[in-house]
Amino acid sequence: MSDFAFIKTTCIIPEEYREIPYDKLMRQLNPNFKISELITPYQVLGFLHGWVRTTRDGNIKENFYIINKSLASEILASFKFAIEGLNPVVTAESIELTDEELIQKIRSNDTVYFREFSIFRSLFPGA
Amino acid sequence: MKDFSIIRCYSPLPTDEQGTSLKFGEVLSKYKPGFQTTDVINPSMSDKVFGWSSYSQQNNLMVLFLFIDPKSNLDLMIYAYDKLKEFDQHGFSFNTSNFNVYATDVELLTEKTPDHEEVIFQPLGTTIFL
Repeated sequence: MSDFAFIKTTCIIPEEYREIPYDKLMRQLNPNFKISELITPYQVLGFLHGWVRTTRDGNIKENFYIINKSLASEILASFKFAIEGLNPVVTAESIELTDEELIQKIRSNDTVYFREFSIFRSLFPGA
Repeated sequence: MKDFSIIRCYSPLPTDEQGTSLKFGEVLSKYKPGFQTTDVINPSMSDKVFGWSSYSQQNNLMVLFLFIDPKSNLDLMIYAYDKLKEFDQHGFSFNTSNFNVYATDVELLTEKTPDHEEVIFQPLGTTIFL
């Protein structure tokens, strides 16, 4: 996975919204924000290979976007621009993940999307 | 409500099947006689699969959804991927790049299963959808 870079977004869900599914909550509180408008072009162009959402400590939603290393800074800038002003606050940062850490994130997913699963298949032994 | 995930597998229909009325499983069994849609489910994890639905023809796509226990989504996806990958040796390359897993709720499920041709819920699953 050495050709990949990772963007992590983090959102702390306030207690009063804890029971609402994350997607639904974001749509409800940010009707003008559509994550698909941000990520779909990158998927179609082959710069975004997949993403994983996990939940930490019950209310911290973390999304890990697997992107092309060559465009990492441009994509991060797009993310930061797009998430500005969201409620609840979402932050974005560039991080590094080893294969083992990526596998752990995928295994603990709430949701996972692979644009080309064949790229990732070799990470895992037989099911 | 977020008690299950969906695995979505899809592929363009083979060119010679476009315009026909074959269902998802029928297309695959033409290339690999005896193949059934349920063969993509790891038999040791069948209790983790609550149901499935499929359709073909819409926009010349063939699509399969598996409704599963979210804790098992990766292992079930790997198994299904490997099973459909076998079609490479049977004259039809299933587009196995497109495997998605969604954690979802009933509302989203309705959006994701438009006009399915076949939908089957195992007894455990029926309690989820009622």
